[in-house]
Amino acid sequence: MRLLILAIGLIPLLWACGDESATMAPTAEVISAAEEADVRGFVFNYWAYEIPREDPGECPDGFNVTEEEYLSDEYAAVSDEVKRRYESGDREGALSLLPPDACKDPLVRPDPGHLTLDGPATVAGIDLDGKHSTLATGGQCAHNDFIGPNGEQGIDNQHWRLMGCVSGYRPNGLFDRLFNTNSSILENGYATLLELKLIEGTRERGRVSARLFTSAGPVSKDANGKVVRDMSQLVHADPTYHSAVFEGEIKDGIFTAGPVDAKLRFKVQAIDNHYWFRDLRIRAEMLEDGSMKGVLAGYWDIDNFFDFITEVYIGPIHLGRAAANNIGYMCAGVYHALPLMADGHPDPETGKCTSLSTVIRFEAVPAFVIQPDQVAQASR
Amino acid sequence: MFKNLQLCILALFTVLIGCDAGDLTSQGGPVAMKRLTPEQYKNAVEDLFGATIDVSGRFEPDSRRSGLNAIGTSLVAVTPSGFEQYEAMARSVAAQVTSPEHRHDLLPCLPKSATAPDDACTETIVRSFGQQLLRRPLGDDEIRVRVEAASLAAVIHSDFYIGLELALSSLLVAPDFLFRIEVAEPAPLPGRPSRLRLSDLSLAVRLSYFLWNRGPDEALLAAAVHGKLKSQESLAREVDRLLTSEHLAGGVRAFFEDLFLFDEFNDLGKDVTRYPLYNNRMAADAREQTLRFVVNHLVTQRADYRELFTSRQLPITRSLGPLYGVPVYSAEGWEDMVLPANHPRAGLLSQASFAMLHSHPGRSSPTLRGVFLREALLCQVVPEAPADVDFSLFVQDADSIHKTARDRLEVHANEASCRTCHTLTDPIGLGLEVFDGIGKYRTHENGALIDTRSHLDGRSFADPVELGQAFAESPLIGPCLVENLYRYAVGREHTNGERALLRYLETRFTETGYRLPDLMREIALSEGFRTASPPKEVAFEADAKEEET
Repeated sequence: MRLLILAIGLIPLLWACGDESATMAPTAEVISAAEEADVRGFVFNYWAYEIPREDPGECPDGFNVTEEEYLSDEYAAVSDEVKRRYESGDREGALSLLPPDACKDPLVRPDPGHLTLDGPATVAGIDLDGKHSTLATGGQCAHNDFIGPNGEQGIDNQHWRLMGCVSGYRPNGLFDRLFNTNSSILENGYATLLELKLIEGTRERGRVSARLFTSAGPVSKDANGKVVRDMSQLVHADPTYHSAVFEGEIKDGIFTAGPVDAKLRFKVQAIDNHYWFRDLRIRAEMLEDGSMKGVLAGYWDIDNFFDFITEVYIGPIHLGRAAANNIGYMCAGVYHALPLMADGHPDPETGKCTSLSTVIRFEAVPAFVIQPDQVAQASR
Repeated sequence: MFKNLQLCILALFTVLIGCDAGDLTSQGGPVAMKRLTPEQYKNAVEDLFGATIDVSGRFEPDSRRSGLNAIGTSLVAVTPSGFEQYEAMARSVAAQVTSPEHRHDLLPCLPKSATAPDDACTETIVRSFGQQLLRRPLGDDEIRVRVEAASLAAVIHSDFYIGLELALSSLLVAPDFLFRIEVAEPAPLPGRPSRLRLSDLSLAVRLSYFLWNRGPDEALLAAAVHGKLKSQESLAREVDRLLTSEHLAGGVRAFFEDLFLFDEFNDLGKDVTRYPLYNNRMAADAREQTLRFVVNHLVTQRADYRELFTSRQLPITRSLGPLYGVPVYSAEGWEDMVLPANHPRAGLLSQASFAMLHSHPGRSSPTLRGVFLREALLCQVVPEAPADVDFSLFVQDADSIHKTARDRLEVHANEASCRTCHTLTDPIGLGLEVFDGIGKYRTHENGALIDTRSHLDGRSFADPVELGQAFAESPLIGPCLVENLYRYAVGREHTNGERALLRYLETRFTETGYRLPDLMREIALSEGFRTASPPKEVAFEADAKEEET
């Protein structure tokens, strides 16, 4: 079923979700402890959207089509001339023959519709809104929660509902394979850093303050291409990519923390952008070797999301449409589906949700998180 | 000239005449011809022409003797292929110096015409550069032949600089440049009629290479030319001047680089499947770390030599941070840190350079580490392993019943032929087993807990930090440094006649608080350093017979 039809019926049913109250300012105690404490740092050595493998959910109407397929007649009519112009080096001339590019301006053409994953699936993540939400119960930003791999209820991941029927997002699809190469971290991109400071208790069981950062640049790799443990990782100089201090807990080998808002820089191949997550939470298993493995779950700002998937460039060449064609969606379809799938942070004036619950799987190894001012002091 | 050289060379094989008079009257050993090390060659070019002149090429390999390359330099020659390399480097350096890019800055004069000979200018240049390269004033004949050759080449090519390039190249391949040729002269004293001392120029060169690892500067050469080094007071003034120079750090660095066998880093390789963290940058930084640590401690801080083994100060780079498990704040370059009190490392022995260098490519080696520490730092000789050792017993295998190096080495307890040496080496090395083959800290090997408890000559220690303390307090550590530094300074083994001098130097080292610069001063001013033993007559006879045949 095309999402557009579904969404029209949902709009009146939206109810509070991803509410603002979830973002709590750190207490003075937390901030104080963060300044002088037992500190541990981590560098993320794996980062990928949660793509469920055992039970990814069904797409009974098939997967989304690309613009080339959706507008096949229009493409066919100009294909020979487009090819001729490309081969003669007239790239701009070739592009001018194609249908208007909705990845540059999603309003240049009507909504072609977008297939979403509406049924059940087993998805790792976190119950971000603290509710076992269903569409049936309605309310603001209504949505169907998922069930977690261990039977957890209330898992929020509208990102998967939005992109779960995109072929490139499916298990072993293009996006999945790209993330598994970890190239965003390993190939001269940026890595996410996490710093924990013990507030009370022990490293095994205690309260911590936490902060997320983007690294200043590429991480060091060993001869096997893995991120080096115990390396000093510089924090990005731009405070945009420093989260506020937030609180967490370590108990029974599980680290939980949040919520916090965070902008995290991301660079891989033709993408150079940042994620803007709100009310981000972490749940990770603390492993014996000192590393951790778990999920980041939060609300991805939908404008940032659309920007993220369309602002794809190689030099001056805009590749948003090419990326959509490769991965298997249409920019216009996603653009129109986004506000309908959004489940967080309702606009106070319109009531429409502005963010999309999203789950990132991550792994992190011990590192020393070095702040820019510490670098300046040490330089000589 | 050549007879003098022969005398010098043959003097190496003489039986030494001992002198039992003790400290200040101990007579030195034979003089020698010492081939410049690659570092010394580069220093010579840099001192004269600056750092912008590139010196690249393959040098003749050094030859380590009695633990020091400094001794081996007097026992090596230049092979035909080695000379080709020297010549290629000489041409390259000369071409750079005379190039349009550099000639205006580097040459003391410019020709009247660039397309014709200018003998006066060539002579000025050859005289000036020649004195610095050959570490002595040039004779008129030495200058004349070069000026004539340069002039002829300039005419043939209608280019002054091609001629000059030829003259400069000839200086850079001259035996007097490639070798430090020591000359001794009679200097009898009452009761010591056969006393020989180094000529003033030879003494100046020995001094500058000992203290700076580079040739004498103009002031020292001038002092030598004017005979001022004969006086103990004048000599002391020069020594003190050299000891306060910034070049002292380079001299100290060169000594420890030699003593620590750091030239072996050039061929160091590790099995990256076992040590994926290892790379060439890390190895280079580990080597540099130790040298910076030593120079800072001994020269900059003028601190007690024994504290090298316990100090928690450490220069570090970003690439070494993961090895040491410490934060490094500087994005690039070096920063100084102090390891926390609970850190499992302290002092020289726990630095990554030693662990890396004295390990196998794929595993650590308590034996290799023990051999090095015994020989280099305690001046004890450890015999080579017998040829029939069954190394299959030591293969590192997680499935083996011998999980740790200690387990594997205990096999030796049952091998009588191995027991003696391993009893000497392994207890020390086992104390460093928490550092793997690249120096990264570990607590387990193949799943088994590593036990670092051991002993050094009867003194127990529990871990590398306590091992460092045991070294610092060892009665052998000071005398061994004295012996090594003296041998390095004179470029040969000490003679029986110098034993009393060594005892004297040990005492002075102790009295001055184990300060290395003070010890260097004592050595530089010692009778053994500036005197020489006469050659043995039999050497001349053998030489004469050889010539007859």
